[in-house]
Amino acid sequence: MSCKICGRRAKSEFCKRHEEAYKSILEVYREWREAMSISWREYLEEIVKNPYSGRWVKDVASYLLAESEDEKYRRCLNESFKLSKWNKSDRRR
Amino acid sequence: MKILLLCEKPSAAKRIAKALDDSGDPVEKRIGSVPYYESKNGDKLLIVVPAIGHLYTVAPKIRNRDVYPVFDFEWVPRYKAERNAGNIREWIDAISKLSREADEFIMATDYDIEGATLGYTILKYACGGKEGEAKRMKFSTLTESELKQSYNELLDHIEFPMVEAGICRHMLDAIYGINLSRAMTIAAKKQSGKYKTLSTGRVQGPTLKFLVEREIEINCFVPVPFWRIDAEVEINGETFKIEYEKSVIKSLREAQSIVEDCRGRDGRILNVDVREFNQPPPVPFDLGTLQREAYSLFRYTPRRTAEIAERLYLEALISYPRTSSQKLPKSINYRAILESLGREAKYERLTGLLLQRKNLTPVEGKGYDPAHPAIYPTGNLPERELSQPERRLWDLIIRRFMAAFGEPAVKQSVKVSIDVNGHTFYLRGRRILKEGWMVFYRPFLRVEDVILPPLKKGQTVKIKSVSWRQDFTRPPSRYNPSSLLKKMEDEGIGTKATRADIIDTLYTRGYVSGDRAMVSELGLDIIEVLSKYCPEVISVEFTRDLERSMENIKSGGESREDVIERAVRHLKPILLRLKEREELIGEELSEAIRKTLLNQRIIGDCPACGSGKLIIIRSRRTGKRFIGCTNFFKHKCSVSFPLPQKGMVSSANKTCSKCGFPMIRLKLKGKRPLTFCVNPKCPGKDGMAR
Repeated sequence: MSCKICGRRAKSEFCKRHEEAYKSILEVYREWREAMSISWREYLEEIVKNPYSGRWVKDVASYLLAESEDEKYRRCLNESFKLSKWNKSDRRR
Repeated sequence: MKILLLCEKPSAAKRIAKALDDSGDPVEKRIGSVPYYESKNGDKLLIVVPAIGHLYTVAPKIRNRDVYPVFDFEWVPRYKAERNAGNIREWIDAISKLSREADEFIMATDYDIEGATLGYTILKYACGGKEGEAKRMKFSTLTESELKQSYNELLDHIEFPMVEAGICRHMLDAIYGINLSRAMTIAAKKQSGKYKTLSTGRVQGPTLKFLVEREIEINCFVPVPFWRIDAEVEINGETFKIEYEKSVIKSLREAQSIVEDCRGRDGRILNVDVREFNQPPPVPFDLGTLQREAYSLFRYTPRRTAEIAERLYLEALISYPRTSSQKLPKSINYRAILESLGREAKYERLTGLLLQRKNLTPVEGKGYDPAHPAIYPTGNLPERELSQPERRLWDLIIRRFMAAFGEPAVKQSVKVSIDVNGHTFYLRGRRILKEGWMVFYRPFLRVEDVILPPLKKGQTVKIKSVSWRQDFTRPPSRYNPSSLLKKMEDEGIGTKATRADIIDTLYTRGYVSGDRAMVSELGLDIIEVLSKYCPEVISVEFTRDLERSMENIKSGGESREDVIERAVRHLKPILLRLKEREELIGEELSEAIRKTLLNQRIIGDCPACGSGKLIIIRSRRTGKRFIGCTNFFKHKCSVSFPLPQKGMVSSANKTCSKCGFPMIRLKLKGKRPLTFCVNPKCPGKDGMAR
């Protein structure tokens, strides 16, 4: 299997480098949500244009934005929700 | 009686010959192109002969470069093992010839691990086994007085424990470097069919790992927003910036509420905290601190600083620079050095200030080196016009030396706490009350006073402005040559003599580029492959452990044979593992090599079509090189530019300020690199054409 972004060898959808960047994107979304009101798509757009975002992070964010399938979009959202603690506490409530 | 005196470099030989000749005018002779000097010293004739660095090197007994693992190594003349070392044969022949006529031998190479190893191998192999009977000159400066004293107080024999440690270091570097580099180069070549030297080593691997870890952190970094409060206060008509009690506000709502609370309100001074503190002088330079300071002040890379310092040492202007010591012993005669430096108009007043004192006691750092003191000026003045970098570095060393004798500087800091509607802001001031050592080091200091008007508790001040500003967390900085050197020192890998060269090798191999060391695809892949298949070879712990063992050899705690045997035992299974997986490793590396080679050919974005890249192409028909657009193959863009046919061409990584076209860098052998724009019709080239 090869990475959908760079074509490097990959075990899943992304290679090791982009997988790592993808995880960072998911993890940090929680902190953005705590800081301001922002949707997943807006968040990805912010990351792409931010000069401090890492190269691989920008690759993944651009890829996710470009991906038109709603299913994919929903899956990302769900995964980010799973990771975030605030979401767990929200559900309990 | 003829005595052969072996030196490390021609310039050192000339200086030693001059110092030891009774008339101060030795006879210069030559064997072919190898210079040597005859000095009369009483009833003895000294034959002072230089080497040009190491004449011998460690090489595998099996000469075939495609074979690994290899563990049988031997010392051979460098011309047998290295390309472009043909001139070494002449030097070995000349030294051998002179040694046959000599009755006694003195080793006068630098007094450190490399100097000892270099001298030992020449005495052993070129002079026919004279290493056991040779005496040793030990000196830290090339001044006449110290050289004479050193000659009169010869050590009975060369420093064998240091030689043992040196041999061990060379052996280990060869065993690791040659085997691992061959494993990777061969694996990649078999897979891609292209030859590209890939190297790693005992110290190089862990160093590259530091850089790769940082690169991954930067590339996976997602910035997080936060907010800051900017505020200004007006006191007696003057405006000062004040800091909010929290430097980081984590949510926009909170930042907005703080601004709302404080806008249009007055502030009340809660407290005025005035503190005085002493700042002691900086410690004398060892090589590492000198390299870092020179990078921070002049942007000289560690290697460049080491080279300049070496030249100053060979001119007898400073003491031996490859030292770890931060101590200045009394024996160097501080007063004489200062008096001598006072002859230079620039230092007359400053040295005068120190010479007025009865006692001169320098501040000392923790660094210790049994062989040499910290770097200090000898007091000699230049015999030739120094280049600007040489003069700058010499000035820095002199001023640091003087500063070491200075009194502590006394500084005052003021922190005023201001309450604004329940929020606390700080107004800070600072000034120097007594310059102390700073007077000597002034050109290299960047301190600015912030003087506040008189303020007292309970006083009301006007808040002139208050607003919030969004900011983002930043990724960690990339290492630069100086911070990488510090990291290597802190981690205890490499030596003061080798660290700068290792950093340089990372650049030469294309693993790293730019002033802020950015790791290339190849560098990332090398570490990825090594981490996957043999993480032990990039382990900092193992490298550090070997460094400790080599220190132990110096002090007689361990034997060279034991340390080498342990290293081989460690490396053998790793290399066998690498050999078994050669195909897989080759596959992973060849892709990175392909990308690196392609990147080296890319000059920049195409200014004509905007979407293609300008790339160096060699015409199959004419064999000549030129620049073309990658979109040519898609029949979208036919732009092309001519290129000089000689020299190395690479991207200058910038665009022309006149026409905006990418710029290239041309390096011709023996000449300074030229940077110019690819556009032959560039307005900036009008003058050149005329």
